Amino acid sequence: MKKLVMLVLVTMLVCSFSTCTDRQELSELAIVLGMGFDHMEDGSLQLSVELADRKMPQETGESKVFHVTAKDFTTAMDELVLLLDKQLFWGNMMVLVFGDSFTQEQVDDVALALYKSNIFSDELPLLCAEGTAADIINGSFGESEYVSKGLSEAISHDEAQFEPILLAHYVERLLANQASCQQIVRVDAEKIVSLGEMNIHEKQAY
Amino acid sequence: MGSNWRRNYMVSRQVEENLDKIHALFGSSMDLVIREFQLANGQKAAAFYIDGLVDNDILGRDFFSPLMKTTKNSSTYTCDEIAKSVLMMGEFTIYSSLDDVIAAVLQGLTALFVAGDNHAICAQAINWPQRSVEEPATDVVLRGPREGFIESMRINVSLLRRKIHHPDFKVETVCLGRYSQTDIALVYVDSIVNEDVLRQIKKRLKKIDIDSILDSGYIEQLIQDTPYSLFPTIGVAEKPDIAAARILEGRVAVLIDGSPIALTIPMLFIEGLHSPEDYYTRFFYASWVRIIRVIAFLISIYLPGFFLAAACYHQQIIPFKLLLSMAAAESQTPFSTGFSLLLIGLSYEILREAGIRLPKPAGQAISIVGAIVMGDAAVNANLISAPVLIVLAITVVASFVTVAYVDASTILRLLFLLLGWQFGLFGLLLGTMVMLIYLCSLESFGVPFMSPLSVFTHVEDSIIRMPLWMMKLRPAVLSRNLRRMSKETKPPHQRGDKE
Repeated sequence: MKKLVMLVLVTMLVCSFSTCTDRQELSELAIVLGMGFDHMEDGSLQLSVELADRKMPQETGESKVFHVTAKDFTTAMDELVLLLDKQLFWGNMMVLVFGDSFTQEQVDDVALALYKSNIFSDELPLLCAEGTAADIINGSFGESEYVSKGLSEAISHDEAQFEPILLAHYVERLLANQASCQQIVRVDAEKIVSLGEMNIHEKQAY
Repeated sequence: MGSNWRRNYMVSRQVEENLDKIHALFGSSMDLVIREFQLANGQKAAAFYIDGLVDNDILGRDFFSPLMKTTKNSSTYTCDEIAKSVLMMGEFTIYSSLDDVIAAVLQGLTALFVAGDNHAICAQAINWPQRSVEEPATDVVLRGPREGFIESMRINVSLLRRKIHHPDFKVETVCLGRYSQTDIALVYVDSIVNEDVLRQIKKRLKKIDIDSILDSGYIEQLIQDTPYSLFPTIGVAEKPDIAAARILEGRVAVLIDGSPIALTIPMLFIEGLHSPEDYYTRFFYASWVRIIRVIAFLISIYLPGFFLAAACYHQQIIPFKLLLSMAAAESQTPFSTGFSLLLIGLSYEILREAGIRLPKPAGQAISIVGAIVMGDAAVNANLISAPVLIVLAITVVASFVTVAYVDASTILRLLFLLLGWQFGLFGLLLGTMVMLIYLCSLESFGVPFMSPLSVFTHVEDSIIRMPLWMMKLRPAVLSRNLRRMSKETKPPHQRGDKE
């Protein structure tokens, strides 16, 4: 009996130490495939995220794109969570895209922040859009490429030279004062056919 | 009267006095038969037996007929003379205690009192209804003997005796159960058995004081090492070839009258993953099947917990396509993944229990309804998702691969499901560590339950099975006589012998 009481107590203790708050139900997940950062004219940040559409799990799946605008990254993320009413799942994220002007001004700070946040893979490729990141993060992923179709086309357009720098490598260079935004591979947004873009700032059922 | 009916009565020289005592003890039991008659020489006698336990043909032909026809020069017969020269039955015992006579009659023997002798003869003419020897429902094999134990202990002992023709094959009996007076046989090979184990079994059996022993399960629960253990520490065998093989490894078989299941002691964990067929088929296939059983056992306890851990905490380990389809399926259902799995698991257990207990035709109907309701309607109605159903189906099928651990795996599955659901892989790892520590602490009659895995000896017959001729020794933990075959048993071509 004493052993049983001990067992219950130990179990309760373990339960209290490791609570179930980080449990994420599959149905409540927003699976992020790609994220784009753009610098708006008013100085704010536009965050574009491409989410896998879990209602369409067929071979040629589709994705949805959401945009939020905020003064900084943290606020943008908060707004995104509010907009989606889901828990963001970063485990399948394929790419980080920065808009042209954003790359020139803020890429170092954001790359460092993302690296430190530990929620992204170290091997996440970084890309710089010729225009805006929103043009590349544009939905509709294919069977073999779980990134936006536009990005896929941009990559395949010049596949031989496509060797994007990874987040960890960029941050390493940054810390060694050897990083430059020129090291981020640029993709041509002009050549991308935009598909299925959603209305900006409009809360939609996901 | 209470459970102890013995009065220390002795057999009287007066037949009537004996019968009065019997009447006083039994009252007006309708199945009690007392037949008073006279021997051929006019001597008074009485037979006493239980109707339905004896063969009336044998009794008439070999018991009453010689007693009434045989004449003798001397004036009176003694029991000894009758047993030796009158009765034509093969097996009889002479008792002087009336209590022993009554006990023998209750076991199905026929007692004979003769006037002038303070002894009684108990002759064997037992014939009670019993099943024929047939293949048991479990332990079905494609290759190997098909006969199974039945409810008669004597038949079961003879089935074992037919496998082991050796004077060292010993059978010791004890009688347990204050009311049931159940015969229990300890069967072992004297020159092989682990004497410590045998001594412990006898000691534990001696301690049992219970109203009745109706099945081997009673004995199993009353003598096992760890009463609260999830895992059985006493093996069971429904077939004589399995029991004989275990006896020949140094174990003791316990046969209980009225039970078609023999207990084999001690039990090792690895035994539950073995099948008798392993030894009848070629070693590479037997090894492969054993590995499959290990995988199936792991699936049967871990899969639901692992599924929940992956779905709720570690989505990164799920392939992207699968994650998408799982998320799509889950978004259609009203319940969380964990609750769905618990719900469908509970439904399955209810259906299984109903299917087993109901008569066969109704059981089949329940199975069909269950399959349709659980397999199709529940998914179509979006009550549960298809991945959850698939996980349960794989788990259930896997659990029946290792029949010996169906009970344990059902409970462990539930525990690991809760751990995976609440704590993810951390919970599963914690549970596994506790389970392993617990398993390593278990003993079966002084023998470590996890041997030979824990001590890494006798590996030739563990998760893999080496060729038969390589298993020259018995497991050291089970037997004091290790060598089971000579070195010459190796097949000739293996030696390069050109004969």
